[in-house]
Amino acid sequence: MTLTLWIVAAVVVVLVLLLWAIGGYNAFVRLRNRFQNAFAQIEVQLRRRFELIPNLVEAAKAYLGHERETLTHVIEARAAAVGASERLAARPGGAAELQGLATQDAALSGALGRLLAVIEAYPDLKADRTIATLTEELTATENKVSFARQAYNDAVLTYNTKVQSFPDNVLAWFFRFDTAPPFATDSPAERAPVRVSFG
Amino acid sequence: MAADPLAAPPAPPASDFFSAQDAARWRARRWLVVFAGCVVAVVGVMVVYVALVSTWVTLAQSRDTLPWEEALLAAPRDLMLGTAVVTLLMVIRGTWTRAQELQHGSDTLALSIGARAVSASGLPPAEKQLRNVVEEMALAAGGLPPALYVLDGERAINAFSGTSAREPFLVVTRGAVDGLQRDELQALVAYGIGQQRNGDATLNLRLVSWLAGLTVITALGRALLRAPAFVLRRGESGESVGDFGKAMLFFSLPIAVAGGVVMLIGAVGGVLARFVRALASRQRIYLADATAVQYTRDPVAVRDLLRRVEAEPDGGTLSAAYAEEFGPMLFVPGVRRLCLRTHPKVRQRIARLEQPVT
Repeated sequence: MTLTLWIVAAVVVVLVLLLWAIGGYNAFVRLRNRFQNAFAQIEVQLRRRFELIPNLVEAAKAYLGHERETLTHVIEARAAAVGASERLAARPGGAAELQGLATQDAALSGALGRLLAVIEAYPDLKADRTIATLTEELTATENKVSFARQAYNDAVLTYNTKVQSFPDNVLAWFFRFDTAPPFATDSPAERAPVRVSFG
Repeated sequence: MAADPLAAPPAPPASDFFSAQDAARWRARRWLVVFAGCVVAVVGVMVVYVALVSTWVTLAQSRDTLPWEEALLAAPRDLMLGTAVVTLLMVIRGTWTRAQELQHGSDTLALSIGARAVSASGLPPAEKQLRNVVEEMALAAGGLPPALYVLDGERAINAFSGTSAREPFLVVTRGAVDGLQRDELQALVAYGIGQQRNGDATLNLRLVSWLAGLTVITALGRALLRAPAFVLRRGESGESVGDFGKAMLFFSLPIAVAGGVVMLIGAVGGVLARFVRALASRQRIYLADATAVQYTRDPVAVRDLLRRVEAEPDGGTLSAAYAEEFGPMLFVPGVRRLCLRTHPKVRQRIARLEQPVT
């Protein structure tokens, strides 16, 4: 009698554990896919920015001939960021490569931010229709990159919290789900949002 | 603390908006249960009304010899059951019809109220900026941008979002496109997309449908109330009001009285339903405000936007009739009301935004 009771109890415990493991595994997969999709969005936005920058610089040259240095900075930063992006593409998920891209991306954002500041500094330029369009494009491009990054970091935060919390961390260890790196930026200049006023 | 730009924005409690979505769906279901309670109440009152009328008739027939309890018990069960079933069927049919209309009609709904679709390219600067902002906020929300419309006739600063069978949509007033700074426009768009992500559009569709279902009862009451007028009009149209006509008029009077009562029951049910809708909606507005902060990471912009709307002379009031149905899906109420407001006061929303996160 007591033996049967023990067997039943054991079966129930095993069943509960099994259901928990299945549910937990599926949750990990769902969250991982979510942040991977968010990362794909960052790449899309970065590529879009890479393609847009030469056109923007070309358009700005006509107005900002005397600010050649700022424009050269943007071109150089873009080239470096493209290189970092290609290195990451060659080794997806590499922590060092991701860090490299984040750094170069921040440098590019900084250069573009300076370009915006330069345009801001010339009231005549601000009033120009072409320049206004250019500023809007620059701002939107920068925002898209940073909002895609924000969405990725939000998704990574949720995933990492799940991977690290008890008792889910036991499952994560068993199924080999590792924490994911956030897309962090180090430069303080980059942390400040690029603000453009159209007053 | 304030010196560190990363620590400055008080992130809303739910930085995981996906689980916030799930929670919102659950809450939507809970409000539907309360709404169903309103319907049951209306059906119940109808049955009680029929029982009372039947009691009164029985008492009159027995020339007051019967005690009223017995008269009440003598009320025919079939009649009461029939009343309940017919009322319920009417409400369900009204709800279903409206839900179908809304689901299939919303694609063209934005167009039917005079909104203009914003095309993908060749836009004037202000609309180009709006489109950019919508794409940015969709990225922040981790989804695709909604279909975008502008209401050219509205000078007030407001916006509303919705969803249809085909896709979610966002309608922004001309006043908002022209009158807002870029970061404020961002906050407005983030609010609309946030409402869609929180499942408010679906919730509102359901609530509007149920409200329409309850309105059917009021409409029935109104139709019955017109019975004597109908008989009289038949008389005026040339036929002489003979004995038959007089008899019809005599019988139509109690029908009219019954209609009045039914109309009253329907109206009370409608007010009850609106009350529930207002209570549900106000909490959703706070949630959408918090979601806007989450997407923009810029509580100052959300607050500035609210302050700007508050400072407007007409505070976002819309000139058209659609303001009622989209009530909770607007950024600020489209009509001024004293009670049953769908939105908390702007001042309260600002106060919630400024609350320190513990």
